[in-house]
Amino acid sequence: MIKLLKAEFARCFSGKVFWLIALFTLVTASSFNFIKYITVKREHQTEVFNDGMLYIGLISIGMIAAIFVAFHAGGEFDEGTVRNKLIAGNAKTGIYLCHLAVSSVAMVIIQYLFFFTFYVCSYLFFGAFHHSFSVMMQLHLMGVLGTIAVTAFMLMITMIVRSRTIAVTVCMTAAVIMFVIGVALINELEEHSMELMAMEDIISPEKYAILNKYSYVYGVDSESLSGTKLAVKEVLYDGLFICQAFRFSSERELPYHWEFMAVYNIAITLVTTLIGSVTFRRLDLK
Amino acid sequence: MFRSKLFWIFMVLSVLFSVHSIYDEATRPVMDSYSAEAYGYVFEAALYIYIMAYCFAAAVIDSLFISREHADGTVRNKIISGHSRAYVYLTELIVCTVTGLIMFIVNLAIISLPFLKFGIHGMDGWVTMRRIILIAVLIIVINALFVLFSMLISSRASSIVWTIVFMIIMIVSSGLIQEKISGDSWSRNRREAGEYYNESEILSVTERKVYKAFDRILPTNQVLHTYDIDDYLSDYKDPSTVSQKKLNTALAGICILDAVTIAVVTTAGIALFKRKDLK
Repeated sequence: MIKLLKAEFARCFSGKVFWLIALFTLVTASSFNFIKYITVKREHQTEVFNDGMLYIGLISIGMIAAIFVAFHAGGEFDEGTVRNKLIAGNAKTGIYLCHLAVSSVAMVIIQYLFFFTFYVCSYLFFGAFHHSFSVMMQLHLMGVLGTIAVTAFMLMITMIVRSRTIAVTVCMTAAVIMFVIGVALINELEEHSMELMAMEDIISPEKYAILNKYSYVYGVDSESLSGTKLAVKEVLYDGLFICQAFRFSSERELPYHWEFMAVYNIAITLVTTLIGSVTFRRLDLK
Repeated sequence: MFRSKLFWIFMVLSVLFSVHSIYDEATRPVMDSYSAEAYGYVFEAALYIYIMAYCFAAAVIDSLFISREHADGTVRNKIISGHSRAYVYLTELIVCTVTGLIMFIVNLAIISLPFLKFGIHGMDGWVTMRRIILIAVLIIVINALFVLFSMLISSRASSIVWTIVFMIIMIVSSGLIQEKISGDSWSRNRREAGEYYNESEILSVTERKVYKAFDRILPTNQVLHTYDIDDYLSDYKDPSTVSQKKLNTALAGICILDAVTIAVVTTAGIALFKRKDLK
């Protein structure tokens, strides 16, 4: 297993896909700052609030993981390397876990590459950030769990469909759909929250205090959203990584329910890995 | 194409999407004053959502359909059997475009069905007609772009990645361009009315010309503008003050620009495909 892991890491870092994604991340992170710099100069802005953009890397990680995992793990089926590994005596679960470990590490590196590139460029162009560095690091640690969850989900799809082309199609479509659902959900729950804000007399003072502090309070019905529908949307609000990433970009501290987010991310990683590895073990790879 | 599973999978998805978009829009709370016109709004929103989704669907359909021909050597066989590369390219373009248009017509038929029950209250026939024409033209432009990618990138997986990433970058850029122009127009109108406006949002003459040119030429900008098509065609003036004839002329101008885009993209595609090594 250790030997396989070493070989997988070597293949990952010697392949074009990882370095192309790393280059894309570097260019994107620096160009966002450059565009902002031009805007600030043109509009003679005196105070720049750039903190929210530090999390764009997390928002786009779904799409990046879709491409990386499909090419890295999916390519093995097209080239027949998976069979070679099995013939060499590796267990299917071992192969699956190696892919998960390598893909997760690669995606976490990309996540931090975006963060630090953006941080350094922004610091050079505009000076200090408004949020504290420790909060940013805490949010990014939460982001690591989310990144691993997203990677595990993409790996599950790739290992089940066993084709680079179908994997890249399904994973990228899933990433786009998750993005759209995430944005729609955030907008809907923001509207719901605004509705609750106007209900000061109806909501209990404790809940209103939470609503006031965190801009959202769980489990309170409004006219437009209530019951099971609200409960499902709140679970997705905490559980979908894209929603978490959007919420991180507007926080000055760990968001309300951050413990739930961590639990959901770990649960998604475990469940998808279990489903993926069990299905992969049963597949006939002849 | 019509015998492939790919077409039928996307056709079924397109039908499900159309039904869902009607259901989703129709179940949203509507202000009482708009209730008589409700389905007109649902129909317009459904058209807009369809063309947005089609941008991504076309990326997948075109890439999978054409790159499979690369992968199993059908393209090479066609050339060996005496067809010129230009004809092969144009055939692929026509097939993908016709598929796109058929899917659009099916979608249009499905989302029009509720009119039988609700009537066409609140529908402005001219606006809807302009929207439908623009969407049909955009389907051809989008296919021209994706056929170019798919004919030049032999790897199926790479072709899908590049087309989807290209579409995302184009849509994000178009969103930013649209934001700049809307901010500029809003501030200019407020300045003319003597109300409060944001000076920093007003673009210089050259900047405005450049942004406007991109706003007119880029197909993804036109996709975003299918929603507010009359504002777009009337150059962000109040559309009620502009005659139908002028709006139709502006649409014809946009269609001519799109025709030029199709011609340029296809010519470039054919030229590059002729030089491509198909071994």
